[in-house]
Amino acid sequence: MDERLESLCLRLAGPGDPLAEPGPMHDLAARIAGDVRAGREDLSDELDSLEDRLLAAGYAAGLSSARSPYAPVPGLGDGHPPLTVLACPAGRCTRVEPPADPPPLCAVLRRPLVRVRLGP
Amino acid sequence: MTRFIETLAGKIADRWMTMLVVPGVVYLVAVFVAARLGHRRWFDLGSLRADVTHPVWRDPGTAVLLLALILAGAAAVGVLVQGLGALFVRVWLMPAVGPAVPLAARRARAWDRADAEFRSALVAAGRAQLAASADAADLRRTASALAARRDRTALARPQRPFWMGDRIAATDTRVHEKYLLDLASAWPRLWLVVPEPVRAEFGHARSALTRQSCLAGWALAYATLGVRWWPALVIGAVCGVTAWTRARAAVGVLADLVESAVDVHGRTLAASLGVSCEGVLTKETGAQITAITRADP
Repeated sequence: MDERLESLCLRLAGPGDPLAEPGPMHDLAARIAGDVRAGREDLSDELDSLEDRLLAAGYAAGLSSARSPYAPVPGLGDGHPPLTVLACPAGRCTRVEPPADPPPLCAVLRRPLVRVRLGP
Repeated sequence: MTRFIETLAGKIADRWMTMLVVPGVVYLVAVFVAARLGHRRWFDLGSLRADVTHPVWRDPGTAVLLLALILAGAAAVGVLVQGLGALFVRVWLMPAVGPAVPLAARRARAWDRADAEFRSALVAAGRAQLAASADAADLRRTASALAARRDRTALARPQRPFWMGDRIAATDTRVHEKYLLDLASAWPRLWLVVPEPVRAEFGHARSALTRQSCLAGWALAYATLGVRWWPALVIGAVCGVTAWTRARAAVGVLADLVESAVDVHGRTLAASLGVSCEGVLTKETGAQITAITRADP
């Protein structure tokens, strides 16, 4: 039983994984999978080679199941909060209100104020 | 199987030594130093040297007995401090009850002030944009900065006495406001459908919080020792500030992960419960999930 084969099996189907996306690593992984289907037992050389390529490409865990835990990006700041206001549904007056759910009703037009996104 | 058990036992022993015994031994040394020196002779190394090199320790029997006592004492102190750490987590996340009510009210007032300032700035930015005014971009930036300032107090109106409790409570509030999903009852179901790597992420974040709560326990233990030997108070203060800062970060990560799990795997939960969910998770879908998960009479 090979733990690296388990990782290969999972990662071949993992969207966004370098082994699932077209490229030389995927080709090698697919070849190994083909060898497994053909009943070949000892694939350690091929798995070593695939692991070397993963390591060289910066995937520090190689084919092991070890993962880096999530960490926030330092120094990213406060981000860009989506700013919206509520304004006249017909664009005929200068009434502006902060967002509310449900939006207040325009007493003149008898329609709720509409959401306007602030930004360029 | 034997090999597995041996490995497991080795890992547990390792963890036990690192988490409890080693810091416990260091603490017992500090207790000894505090007891021998006190405030006035706080750096009297000569007196300590005389104690350590006393002829009575040269007897192997006494040395072995002392070592056993130190290890047992260190483990006992470690277990006690771990319990203190669990208490810290309860306090950090506690609801506003009893004497904590004024603290929560104070946080809520600060948040209300910041929110009112943000809303005024938002309306001003909105008016400027609708009037195609030249300062619209500046006013938008001001509104963004004020939103960030309010969010630093809490992401939703504070209900709890401490930032960490509010960070977790805000996750519940935001998920409920966004999807009408009751996080408390949905979480165990969500846990069952998220992939193993996601569970591992929660495990890491939860462990980080436990480690920092333990550090807070050590901070209290050293601060108590400060009554007899003031340098211990300094050690306690440094440990306390570190634990508080890191625990805040750990709670932030935990809350971010919980909210992200709902965003990313909420649809899987809906499908698993037989609730139809086309496209993004909506309030209607969230309300249907809640109706199933609450199962209130």
